[in-house]
Amino acid sequence: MNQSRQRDILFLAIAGAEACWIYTALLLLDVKATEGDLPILGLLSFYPLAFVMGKAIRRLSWGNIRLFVLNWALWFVWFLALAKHYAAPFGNPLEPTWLQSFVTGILQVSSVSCQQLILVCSIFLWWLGGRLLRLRLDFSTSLTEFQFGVAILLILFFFESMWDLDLPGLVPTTMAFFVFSFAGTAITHAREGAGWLSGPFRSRWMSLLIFTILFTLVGGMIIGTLVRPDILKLILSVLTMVWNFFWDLIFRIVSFLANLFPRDEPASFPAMPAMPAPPPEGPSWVKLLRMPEWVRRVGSIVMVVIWMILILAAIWSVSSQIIHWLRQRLDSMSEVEVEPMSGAFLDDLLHLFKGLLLLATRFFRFVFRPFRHERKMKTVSPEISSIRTIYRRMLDWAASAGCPRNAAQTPHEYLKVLVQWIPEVGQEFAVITNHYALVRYGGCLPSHDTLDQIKMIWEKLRQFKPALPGKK
Amino acid sequence: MDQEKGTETQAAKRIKGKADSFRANVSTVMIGKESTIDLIFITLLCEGHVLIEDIPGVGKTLLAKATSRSLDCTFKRIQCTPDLLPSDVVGTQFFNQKSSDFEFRPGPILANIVLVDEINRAMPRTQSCMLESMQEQQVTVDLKTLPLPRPFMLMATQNPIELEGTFPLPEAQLDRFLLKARIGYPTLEEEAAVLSRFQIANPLDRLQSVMGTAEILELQALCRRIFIEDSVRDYIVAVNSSTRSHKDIKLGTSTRCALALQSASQAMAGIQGRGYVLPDDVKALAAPVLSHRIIMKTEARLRGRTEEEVIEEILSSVPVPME
Repeated sequence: MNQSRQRDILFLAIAGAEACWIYTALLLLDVKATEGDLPILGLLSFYPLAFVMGKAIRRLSWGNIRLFVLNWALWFVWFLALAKHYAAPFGNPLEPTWLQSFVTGILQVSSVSCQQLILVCSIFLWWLGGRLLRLRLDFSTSLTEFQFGVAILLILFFFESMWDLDLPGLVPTTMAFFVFSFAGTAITHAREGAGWLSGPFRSRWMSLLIFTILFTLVGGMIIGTLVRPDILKLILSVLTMVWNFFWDLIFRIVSFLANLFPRDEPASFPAMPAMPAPPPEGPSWVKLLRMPEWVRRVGSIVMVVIWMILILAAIWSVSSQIIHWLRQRLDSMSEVEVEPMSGAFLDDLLHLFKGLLLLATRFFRFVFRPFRHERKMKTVSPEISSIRTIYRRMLDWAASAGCPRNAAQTPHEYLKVLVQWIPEVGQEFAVITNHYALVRYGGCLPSHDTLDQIKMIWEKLRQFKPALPGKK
Repeated sequence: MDQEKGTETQAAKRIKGKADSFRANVSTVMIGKESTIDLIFITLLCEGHVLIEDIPGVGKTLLAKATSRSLDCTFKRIQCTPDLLPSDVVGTQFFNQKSSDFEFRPGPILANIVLVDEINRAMPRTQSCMLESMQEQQVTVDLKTLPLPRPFMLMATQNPIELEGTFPLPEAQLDRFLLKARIGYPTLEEEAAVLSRFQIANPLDRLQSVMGTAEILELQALCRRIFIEDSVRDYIVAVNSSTRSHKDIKLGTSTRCALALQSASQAMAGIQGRGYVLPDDVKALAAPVLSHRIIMKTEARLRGRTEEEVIEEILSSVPVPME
């Protein structure tokens, strides 16, 4: 199987797994929030469409901002089409009434409307489709997607159970999710050449894998078909009978042993003292000191949260120590295959929090940029600022093309990565990096000629179209 | 770039010229160990002291001797043994019967370059008598304080194995070494070249000096002029302070360590002919400067973690100043 075919299958696997939990989430939202009014299929169409459109517009040799605008313009067109279909499926699209009613629904503030949900979900799904295009197709990504999907599905099942809903098609969707996830994980693992499927016993492991998938599917289907509430009740009643039998047996044995000892005379208890009279009602200001009911409730919630955090922290600490110990044991064992698990769920959560923090920081930087800019202009000359800007653009350009810089990498360390990435323009990378380092760390002022030369090099560099990392 | 900072660049070029000649000279004896020779020269430029730690037979003492021969300075050697006394190092007062007076007989520490061989074989009190000379470049004998000759560099060697009968250096002593250098095994080609070069005569005997005392002092002054940008200084501080909060480190590094890293980075930039310090210089010197100053937790040691690994981890987590 060639590389592009593998990539297509991987995209399909990841998209399929994501589509399963998205569908479940939309279903839950539909039943709970809009009483069956949400156009689920229409919303789901945003996901593949964003992927296909994103792939198509990436071929255009436009700047990032233009591509961004075009991408969201396409979203807007499709969103309008969905809104038209939702508001007036058979009406004239040129009549403004459907648009008016839809916008009114969006602007409604008294409660959450279906139109608002359509807007939010369509944005989210469009973004998700674009994100799928930017995903690095490797084992850790596939594993992360699986972990994330399982967590989301569990949360959705929990809410479904709490709200006592009966969502249709949950079992097939879940099974499909597992099939897509396992297939994606297995293919990426084999593709990286680190898995069993690339070893000498490939056929055996492949058979085992197929057998496991089939076993999971068939087992799941059988359990899903057979396990009904009445069967569960029957099993529960049998278990209760067995428990009662053993409990009765233990009670009889203990009673028999107790009869072997002489019985004490019944003790005479002293008379109970009379109940004290209730305290007299205090003055009116005493009532002010009493805790109101809502404060008591909030306090109890806070206490519960604190206790939960403490318990979770304790569980986390203990489990991390156990895992740590297990890792050490595994490290010390020879000839054992240990997966690095770079896409572990905790790492992903931390990355998410880091990303949110970074987003917030960028937002505040953007808000306070006018003040910052003024301060910077006093200290940094325009020539130095130009070189810095060019270098920053080069970083952005490389990152968007799939070769981002690590924050702990120095410019020269990153230069080695860039040269290895695209050797054809290694000279250009080196010139820009060296001048940046001289300006940034040497405090030197570049001449106008040097500046023009750097600008020319940058213009030449940005015209270069690097191959996608997966295609190399 | 037509407005480069001329002074720093000229200073750096002069340092680079001397560093190249020193490296070439010592390399005639120590083959293939240019990076270790550079570390010795960096120590000299920073007015520091170097601890050479490696297994026996890789050329620790030879490197120290070659260094002293390449510099036209006074050289003394102290072979540390458990019965070595502080007075054997710093000197002692003795009664001269002819003049009927006490006279001071200087110890071997009163020289420009001092080789302290197998320092961990000396007793702690003998090791501690070098603290004053290493930090303040002076010795005190019978309430009389004597300045040490300038430049002053102490090169100590120690063997990390066969620790029986040795006294590990205390933290205060280790902190006074600017950096710890390792030599390591040579490659097959280098080892063959060593055999060939040492076949007839020891090349150490023919080694000529390449710079004198005055030149060393001048280079040390020039080295301090190497420009270091504020954000790079902040980066040094960030790397240094990260050792204090790392999960595998019991005791992090001191402010003296940050100072050492700064001056060593300046020297590194200088020997490369650059008038300014890059974060790469800091990264390259972090392990030699920091590794002997941190104390690892016992559990980390039991897990097989080394100081170098932890420092590498710190370097890969501290953001490099860019914007």
